[in-house]
Amino acid sequence: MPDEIDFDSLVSRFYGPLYQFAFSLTRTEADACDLTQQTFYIWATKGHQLRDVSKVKTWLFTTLHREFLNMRRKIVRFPHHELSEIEYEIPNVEPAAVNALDAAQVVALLNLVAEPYHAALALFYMEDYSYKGIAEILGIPLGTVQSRISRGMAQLQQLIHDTARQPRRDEKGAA
Amino acid sequence: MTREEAKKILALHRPGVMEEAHPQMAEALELVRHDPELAAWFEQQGAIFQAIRAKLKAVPVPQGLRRQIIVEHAANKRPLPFANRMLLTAAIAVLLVLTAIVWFRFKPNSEITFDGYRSRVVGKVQRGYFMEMTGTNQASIREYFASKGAPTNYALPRSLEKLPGEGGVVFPWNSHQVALLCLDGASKPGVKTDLYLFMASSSALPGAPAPGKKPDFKKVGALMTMTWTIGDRVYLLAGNGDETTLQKYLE
Repeated sequence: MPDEIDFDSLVSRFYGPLYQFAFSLTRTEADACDLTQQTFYIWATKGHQLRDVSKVKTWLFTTLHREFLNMRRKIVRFPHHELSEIEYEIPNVEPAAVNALDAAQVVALLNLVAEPYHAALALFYMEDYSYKGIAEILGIPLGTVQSRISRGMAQLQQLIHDTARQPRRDEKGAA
Repeated sequence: MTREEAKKILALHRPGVMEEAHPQMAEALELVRHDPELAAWFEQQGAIFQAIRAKLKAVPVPQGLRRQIIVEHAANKRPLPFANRMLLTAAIAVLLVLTAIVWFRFKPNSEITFDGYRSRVVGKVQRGYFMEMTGTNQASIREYFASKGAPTNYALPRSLEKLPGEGGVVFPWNSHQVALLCLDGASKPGVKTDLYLFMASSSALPGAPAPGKKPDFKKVGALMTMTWTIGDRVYLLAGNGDETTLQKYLE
């Protein structure tokens, strides 16, 4: 497979989205670069096992996410998060509140979302994968993907909402 | 389906993204068409989705990453983690320094091995040295050795004993005195052949051939050497020729 797909073209096409996904997971440039490089390295050595050429992108994202989990496992065991069954509400956020933030702030807020929702939410926003595709990449059931995205989205929007209110509170405090 | 239930379902709807049909998505979208408040909320959610997506996709990708991946691939080597690159360089530097320290501290000391002794002293006579005492009389040379604190109770094979001397010098080695007796091993009249006989205590030369063992031969530079031990005295003879040439001097 690597012989059939030109490596340079593959890198040119996917290194950006892969890096951005990696950055949303790790929040550090060095780790994101490592994950992206590692993903292409694995492609170069194991990509021939992929039979369906149309799934190259999914294969790369799946590999990157798996490598991320491996990396995290080496550093620290995942803290256990109770996935709340409590009903959630999507807060009322104005698009202007999002536009007022820069990319780094949005990534920072995304990382404040509970860990189990994180990767699914990043793929939801950044890539045009269907829920089935996201489930395949993350290796979790379709229903779980939808549940995680719903709850993660509510958390993210709540964080954006809170951040948008922050300057007003500061102004009150200053006054 | 209530408005709040519809919102939960509609929140998963992404404009322009093909989704598997949510079992209740059609019903929720139908509700949007008849509920202006829900429609406004749905429109706002679409705008928020697009705004967040735009921000996340605006994360800058480091310049040079693409090239780095391709270069690493071309070199067919495992990518070195960015963060660890400096660390690895530092580790290599530390390792080199430690290796140097260990080497200089624990390197084999040529002065405590017999091989080192043989190489050093035979090499020295080939490079040039200062003969403290000159003379052809071996008895006089032996007296000179005694005056310098070098051992004099050496016993030479008859072939060496009858050769005319050229001189002698005494030098320290491993806290012991070594006597160098220079002899003229001329095989033909008018042809001078230098022989160098080093004599030292076996306690100064760990690893020297044990007494009673066959002579040990080794070439050092241009000279052949022959070593043998009698009692506590180690004899090292160096001269031109081969093993047979030197072997004759043991007779």
